[in-house]
Order: sequence, then C-alpha cells, then structure tokens
Amino acid sequence: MKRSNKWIAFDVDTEVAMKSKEPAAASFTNVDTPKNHLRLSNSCSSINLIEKLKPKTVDTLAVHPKKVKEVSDWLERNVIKRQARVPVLVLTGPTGAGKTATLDVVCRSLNINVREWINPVDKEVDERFYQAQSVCFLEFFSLAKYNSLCDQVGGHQVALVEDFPNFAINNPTEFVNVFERCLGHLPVVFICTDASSSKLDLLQTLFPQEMREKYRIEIISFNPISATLMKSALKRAQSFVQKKSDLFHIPTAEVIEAVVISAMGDIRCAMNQFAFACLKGVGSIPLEANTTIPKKRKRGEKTAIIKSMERDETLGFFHALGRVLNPKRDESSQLFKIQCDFESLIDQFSTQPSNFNAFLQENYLKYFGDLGDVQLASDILSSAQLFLANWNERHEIMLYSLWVGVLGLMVHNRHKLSRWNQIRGPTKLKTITNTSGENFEMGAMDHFYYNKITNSDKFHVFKLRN
Amino acid sequence: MSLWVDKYRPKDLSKLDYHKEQAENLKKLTHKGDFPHLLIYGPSGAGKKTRIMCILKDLYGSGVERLRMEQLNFTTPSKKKLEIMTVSSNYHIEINPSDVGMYDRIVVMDLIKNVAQTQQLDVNGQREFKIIVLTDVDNLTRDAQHALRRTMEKYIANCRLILCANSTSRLTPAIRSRCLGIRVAAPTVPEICCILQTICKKEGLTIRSEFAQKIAEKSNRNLRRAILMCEACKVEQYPFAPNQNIAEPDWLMFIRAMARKISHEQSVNTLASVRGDLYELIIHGIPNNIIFQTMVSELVKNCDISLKAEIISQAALFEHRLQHGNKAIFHFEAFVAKFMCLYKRFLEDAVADVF
Repeated sequence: MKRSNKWIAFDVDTEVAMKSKEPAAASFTNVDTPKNHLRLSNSCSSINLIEKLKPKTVDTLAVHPKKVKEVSDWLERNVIKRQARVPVLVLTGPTGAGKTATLDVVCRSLNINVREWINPVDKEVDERFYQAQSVCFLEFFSLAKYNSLCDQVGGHQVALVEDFPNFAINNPTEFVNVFERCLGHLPVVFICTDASSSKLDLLQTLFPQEMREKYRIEIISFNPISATLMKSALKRAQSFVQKKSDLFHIPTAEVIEAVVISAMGDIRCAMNQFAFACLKGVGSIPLEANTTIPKKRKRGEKTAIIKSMERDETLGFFHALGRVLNPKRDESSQLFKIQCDFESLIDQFSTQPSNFNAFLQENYLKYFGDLGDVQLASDILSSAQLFLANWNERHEIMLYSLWVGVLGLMVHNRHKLSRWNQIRGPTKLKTITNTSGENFEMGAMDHFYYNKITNSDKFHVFKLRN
Repeated sequence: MSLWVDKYRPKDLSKLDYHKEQAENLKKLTHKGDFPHLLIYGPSGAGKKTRIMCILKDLYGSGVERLRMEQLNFTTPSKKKLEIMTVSSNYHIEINPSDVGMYDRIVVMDLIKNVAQTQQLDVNGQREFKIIVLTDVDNLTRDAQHALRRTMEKYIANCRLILCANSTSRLTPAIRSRCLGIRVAAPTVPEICCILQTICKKEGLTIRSEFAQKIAEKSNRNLRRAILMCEACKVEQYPFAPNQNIAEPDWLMFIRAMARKISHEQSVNTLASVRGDLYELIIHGIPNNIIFQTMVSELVKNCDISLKAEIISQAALFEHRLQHGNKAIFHFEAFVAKFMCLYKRFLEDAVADVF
C-alpha cells in the first residue's frame, strides 16, 4: 500500500474522501483519520455527509441484487475456497454503476481484506535510486499476500486494481508481461470503467479476447443504476439527513426527482448532487424566493442548475443508427448543414463496421422519400461495402469505409421521411445447401428440372407474383 | 430412379463424347509418374466434373466409384461449429468449401492437413498420393486462397488437388501458377444434339433432330441442362411433338418478372420489393453472376441504343464491385436504383419530346 497521508491533508475533494474510507486503508490512514475529520468538519461537513451516505451493508447497495450476488459468488468461490488456480475478475460498467462500492461492501460482509494498488503520485523521489513503476506494481502483488498487522487475523485477501498504473495504459504489451508475473499470488480484481472512446477502453486494450480465454478471466459487467433503485437509495439518504435537520437543508421531493433524472444511472453523481443540495440548499432557494412563478418554470430552473453537472451522453448502437438514418439538418441557414458530432458517431460503431454497414443497408430505404436520393445513397453504400471487403487488414482503414457510408447516407437524404420505422437486423444469408445426400452434383439452377422430372417439390419453387 | 444425367455420364476418358483430343492428353497425363495439381475450368454443364471422375478412375481404377457421403465437422477458433458434406472414396475426397461461406479457410486448411498427414494404407495402391477435389473454387475467399497456396506446396508429397471452377478470374495468380490449367469448353449445339439422340436411343425413345436442336439451343450450350430438359419434356409428353413447349427454369422466369417490375414502376417501394426478390434468389443458391447477367439482358430489352450503352456501362461497374466485394445485395440494389433513375429520366424526356 503506497498511500501516504499527504493525499488527504492536501486535497479535500470528495473523490479522495471516498477512497480513504475503503477497507483497504492501511494502518497509517486509520491513525490519521480522526485528525482529518476534526479539521474538515470544522470548515464544512461535506466529507462527513458523503461518507455517511455510502452504503455499509449489502442491503443498502443501490446495485441490482443479482449483480451483487454474482460478485459475492465469485469472491466466495475464488477467495475463500480458492477453487481456480489463477483467479482474476474484471468488473466493467459505466461510471458510477457501483462497481467499487459493491466490491467493498461484499468483501466486508465476507470478511475479506482488500489491498488496493494506488499509483504512487507524490512519492518523494530518491535521487540515487529510482524504481520503475512496473517493479513497484509487481512488488505490490508479492507483498500484498501478507496480512497487515492491524488487520484481523486469518482474514482472506484480495488485490484490487482500479487505478491502472501508467505503464499499463501506455504500453499494453508490457502490462501483459507484468500481469503474467503477478498472477498466482492473490486473487485479483480489476475494475475497468467503460470509456466513451475506443482508445481508452481498458477492457479491450488490456484484456483482449485471447487473454481472457487463456487465464479464464471472469467479467462481470455492471449496468447503469436503474431509476427505482436510485430513488430508494436517495430515500434512505433523505431519511438520514432528516435526522439531523439542524445541520442540513432537507432537499424537497422535486429536487430528488431532478437528481435521479439528471444522474442518468450514475449513483456517484446522484449522491454528490444530493449532498450539495443538502449543504447549499440548491433546490430550496428558488422555491422560497419565487413562490408565485408557475410550477413548470421552477422545474426548468432546477434541472438547469443540475444539468451543469450532467454526464456525457453515450450513444447506444440503435440510437446512433437512428442518428444516421434520420439526420437532423440545420433549418435556419440555407446551407445543408447537418447537426451531428460525426466523430463520436463513428467511434460508436468502430468496433463492428461491417455489421453497422449491413444494418444501414437493411433499413435505409424506409427513410428516403426520393428515388434519386436512394440511388446516390445505395451507390455510396455499395462502395463502402466494397472498401470493407477489401481493406480489412487494418481496423483504422475499415473506419474510412464507415465514414463513407455514414456521411453518404446522411448527406444524400434530402427528402427525408420522418415516421416511425422498426429497425430490422440484416437478413441472414445462409445459402441453403443440398445436404440430403443424393443428387449432390446438381446445382441450384437445375433443381427446377429435378422437381419436374420426379414430379415432386423437393426443392424450392420460385413463385411468380404479380 | 436415377436421372439420365447421372445414368449416361461417361465413366471413362475414352468414352467421352467431345473434346477427344483433350481426353487423350489427360490419359497421357495420368500415366506419367508426376501428376500435377489440376485446375479445371469452364462454363457449367460443360463436363468438368465428368472429366474429373474419369481422371480419378484412370488413376485408381474402379475403386473410386464406391462413393460415400460424409458429414465433416470443423470448429472455428471462435468455437463455431461448421458442418460440411463431402463425397469420398478410399482415394479421394470431394468438397465444396464455399458451402460454409466465410469460414472456408478453416475447412481448406484442416481438410488438407488431415488428408495429407495420413499415408495411403494400401501397399498395392498404384499411387502414393490422394486427391482432394475442391469444387466452386472461384467462390473461395481471399483468405482461403492464401491458405491454399501454402498448404498446396507443403503437402505435395501426399496429396494432389483438383480445383474446379467456372472461371479463373477470381483466383489469385499464385494459385493459378501452381496448377496445370485445363479449360473445358462448352459443347457445341450439334454435339449436344448428337448426345441427346444417343441417350434417347438407349432409352428406346425416338427424338426428331429438329426437336433435339431446339432443346440444345434453349439449353444455352449447357449439356446437363439439355439432358434435364429433354427428360423433363419426356415426362411431360411422349412421343415428342415438334412444337412441344420446352419449359424454362422457374428462376429464369422469376428474374424476368422482377425485371418487368423494375421497368414498370420506378419508385422506392419497388426497390424494396425487388430487394426481397433478390434475397430469395440469393438464398436459394442462384449464382450472383447469373442473376446479374439475366437481369441486365432483360432490362435493356426495351431501351433505346443510347440508354442501353449507359446501362451496360453502369452494369459493368456494379458487376465489377460484385466480383470484388462481398454481400452481393448492396451492389444489386445500387445497380437497380441506378437503372431506375436512368430509365425514369429517359421516359420523362420521351414524354417531353412528344409535347
């Protein structure tokens, strides 16, 4: 554990406070916390509050119980019973899906000590002796299997890597080497947060498919917290705050609702907003001042306040498909300007360009109102598909064909039909092959005669429609 | 009951009805010690498969005629199970790798490895190698062709390949240069007439030469289709009437109907319904180039000469894309859309000229 107390003394950010509460906290931190708390609670009680709002038991987690069960099952199997030889778990999911919190709470309930790797940021650099980060990382693993003197005797250990060391991100191949060497000491849990950009996607770069198969890495992916679970979590927080109404502003139900909506499944964001609302009384101030203003307006104001903290929007596959098929044009100017962030759109599909092109082709007809447009678009799609088929050696090049297809469809759709259409998957073209045994030699073009000669309908008959 | 096509297939190189000189050469080839890889190409119904079986018989004797059908299973690295039908004897195995679509590379590599790693058990067997017959090699993916190139050289001691294709244009030069290419041209109309008459004689039927001529012309110099047509006519009506209707394949009518639909109305909805038709054709195994050819020749029928030229040039463009790309439907649809636009403009201009 390379956590020094300077971290906490300098920085009063909530993020740090959350970390300091983790059970992994080594003895140093434990000794120092009372002092910190004293100082912080004098100036403002935000740290305390957010700390208090954190889940302590499995029941108070806002994560879906099934996910919690999955994690605790894995821990039981691999940490307590040590069934797998090299137990590695990767938790993935968007920010604020409760990955770390779940692991903490479950480990505490199972009496498992979590040793967390923290990048040594403010370590005093010794001029004479410098250790590579990868060496530190390895050292962490070899030392982590020993129990701390302050921990309970006989507890199980699990190593946690959430803060990936820099060398891993800069040089994934080196990470693989180090990873192989640090296995076997301890069960390891990695936490990879989903990234919007494919380049930052740690799950893909650090744990590619072959590695997952080789080491039997288990992956549990978390979903964004659902609105109902988040609401009940906030309700618990509310009841906690209400007990100390002398210290905090009590957020109104409307504020809580706005928090739930704007957090978009991010429980950390929601809790932070809730804490701010408690401390500063965000929602309550405009309410008191302008009681005569119609309700709609107030709500608008509140969401506007909270909106400044809203998360980045990530597009789902189908959402992005809709963007392409139904391009929004800038109506005000005479120019055909399309309102869209193409970069992020392309990035969204970059994992499966070929599949996406097929989806576009299957669905684009219904969104076009003019034959001329269709002709141009189909021409573009056909060239894009040609590129996809021939330039498939490198992924970066395949992206160009995606650009061609996406831009072509959006630009050429001048007579857009805006109506609801069901998105259909690409037609599966499994050619029906003759596996019956006899007449192996006969091609599909001669089946007609076979049917005729034997007076049967063994093979498909093309029916003429008017 | 076996069809006439199978019943009267020549079993021996010396019994072939046409390309006699080529048959002589093939015979000489099989008697020489070093038998090369072969690439047999030519239009369908020209007798490629017949010649391959004759060559095999010449190499190994009548043992190759004891055929068995087997289903082989392959597993891709991504754990997908593939099944493919093979026809094999003790001496050879025949497979159509393009049946498994994009996974053909695995089939080609695994199959050749398996076959090549086992020696011929039969000590008296005249040949120290086995033969792998790959059909439809012009549909092999680029990947599979590259894999083939390597394995062809590596295992030449234990196995020889006979590749069977319609055209060499889609094969990489690397493959072509490793094989002895043998072109089997389609039989001429008189040759087909002659064969039809022999078959009818053997069946105890009489066929007038004019009628045989008619069938031969309608078959587009495809011998297999000619024989099938003849048998179908016999089933329909015997004795043959000189003006008897010779049924054309249903897919041909289907493509014609599709072409009519395209010329009749040019709209997005028609395009959508044409797409459905195209899917039906592709799914039921009508080769893409046949669909394209038939469609274009039907479409240009009622166009004037300047429009015709433009359409043909567009057809060439999209056919080229079709040959080089995958997912035929993209290119078909783009061509149909292009045709619709051109034709619509042509019609509008014609109407404008009238007034």
